Amino acid sequence: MIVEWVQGQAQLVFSCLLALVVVGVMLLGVAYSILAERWIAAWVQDRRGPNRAGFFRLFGSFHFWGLGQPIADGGKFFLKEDIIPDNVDKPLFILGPATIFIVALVGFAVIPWGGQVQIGDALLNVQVANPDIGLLYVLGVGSLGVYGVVLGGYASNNKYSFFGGIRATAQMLSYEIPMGLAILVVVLATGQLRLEEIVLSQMGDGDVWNVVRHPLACFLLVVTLFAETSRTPFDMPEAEQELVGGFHTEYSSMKFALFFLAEYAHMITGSAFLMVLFFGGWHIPFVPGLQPGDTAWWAMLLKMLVMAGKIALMMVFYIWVRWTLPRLRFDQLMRLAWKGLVPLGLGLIAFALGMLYIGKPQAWVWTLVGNVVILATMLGITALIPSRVTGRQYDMPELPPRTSAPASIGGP
Amino acid sequence: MPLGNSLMVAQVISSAVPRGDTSVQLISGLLLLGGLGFALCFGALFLGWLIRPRRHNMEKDAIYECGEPTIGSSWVQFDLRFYVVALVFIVFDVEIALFWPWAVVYGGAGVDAADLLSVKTLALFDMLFFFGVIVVGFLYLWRFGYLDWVRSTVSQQRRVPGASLAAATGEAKG
Repeated sequence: MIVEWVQGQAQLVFSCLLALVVVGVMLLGVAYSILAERWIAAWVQDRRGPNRAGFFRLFGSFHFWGLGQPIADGGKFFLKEDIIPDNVDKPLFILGPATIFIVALVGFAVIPWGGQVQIGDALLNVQVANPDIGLLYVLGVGSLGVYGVVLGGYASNNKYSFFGGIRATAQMLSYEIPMGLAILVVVLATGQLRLEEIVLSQMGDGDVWNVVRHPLACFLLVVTLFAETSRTPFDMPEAEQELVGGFHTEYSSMKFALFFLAEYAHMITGSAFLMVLFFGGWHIPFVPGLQPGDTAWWAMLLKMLVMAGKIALMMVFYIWVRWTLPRLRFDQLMRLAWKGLVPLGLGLIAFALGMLYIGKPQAWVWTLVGNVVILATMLGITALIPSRVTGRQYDMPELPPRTSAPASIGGP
Repeated sequence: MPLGNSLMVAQVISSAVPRGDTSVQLISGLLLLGGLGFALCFGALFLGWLIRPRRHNMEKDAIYECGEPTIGSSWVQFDLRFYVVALVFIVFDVEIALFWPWAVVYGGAGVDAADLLSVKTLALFDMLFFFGVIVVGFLYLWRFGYLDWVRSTVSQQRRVPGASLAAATGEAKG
């Protein structure tokens, strides 16, 4: 009894230390992923990105490639005037960014960072908490983020903010459903809600990463993660060309920074979640030191490094997509969610139920074949449905017949 | 070490970790991270409040709507379609939430599904019935146009007995 109690306390202390480290690294990562975003944007658009802000010119004219930029930005956020307009709902106006920022940090609690580590006699989970309901916790906390956006949009008393907030609500709610369905596929296959157990189920004899077993569910989760974090092509809530800045039009200085940091923190949490569910978390096959039996402290550090590397890759993917794909229109966005992703998710669930019944939920060859069949069926049905001009009402006059010569841009 | 062995080691290890303390861990982790977030957020706001300039004027404190004078409040009635989305979301989300515990219990129940009258088969058919209810509801929404963002009067007229789609479009043309 006493030994177990002491062990629990060791875990508690370790968890607290880990939480501090993770939050520190995460905030630094957020600051530098903003810099990475600007670099990659500049590279995509063939121009120079931020490359001037160095460290006090200590080294002559050498600027460290602009690595001082996040620090300079941070200083500016503190020093600039914070305008609260006259007609806003003041408590809610402050509560909006606070909510979204705090919620973005809390989501980290159940992410497994590096398996288990042996310190003294105690075997400790490298995880702030390892509850039975890990997945439900991530989902619940993740969808709390919508409150920040809604509060910010509503409290601003600005039409742009209001429409941005309303759009954000509809978008996040619509994409919660396919997200839940995609995760449900993994839960059905593994029978686990513990994130650590889901990581462990992807390694061992004959086991492969879940992305091989359930590629369509992985695709579904990636798409919904883009929508949940309101990244392009789903950045309707803050569509600059239409809504000025959307829900954060009225926000300035530190309150704007909180929204900005929270967006990137959500991206990091989402990436970590994706890596845990579909890409084996901290695991790489056949690499010594990254197997579940390795519990030395250096193995823990190696695993955390691998996890961070995977998250960084996903962040680069986010940024890459942002500067590649154009934004969807709102009706296209809703159509994609309700008529594309939800039926796909329901199909995947039905298939996962079947595989579960015959007792082979994780036989990856068969799930792969099933995924291909589902994809082919979906594409076939899509091809059979006659396409019509979107955004156009049924009861409008017919369009003039299309001529073979290319029409002028914009059409009649 | 071969992979199979290391997995067995992992299973032994994960069963050796005491599980009773996880709720304490979760709550403490939640409080710690939440408190940290709270401190960082309001600490940054307070620090900024101490050092940043405050020069109000009427123009600056006005609502920013592209420089035009604001007309009325923005807290107005909004489109009913957003309400429908929220309603459909609640129905679906509750249904999916009911799926989760079933998935955990069923998935953890072992793999012997030979007997047609076993509890496992019954549980599967129960869930299939439930799943069918979701699908039928979804098809209903699709059929009657609740999933269309751009709504037209045609889908409403379709429900009136005697009014066909062609007649509806014909009316619109005339």
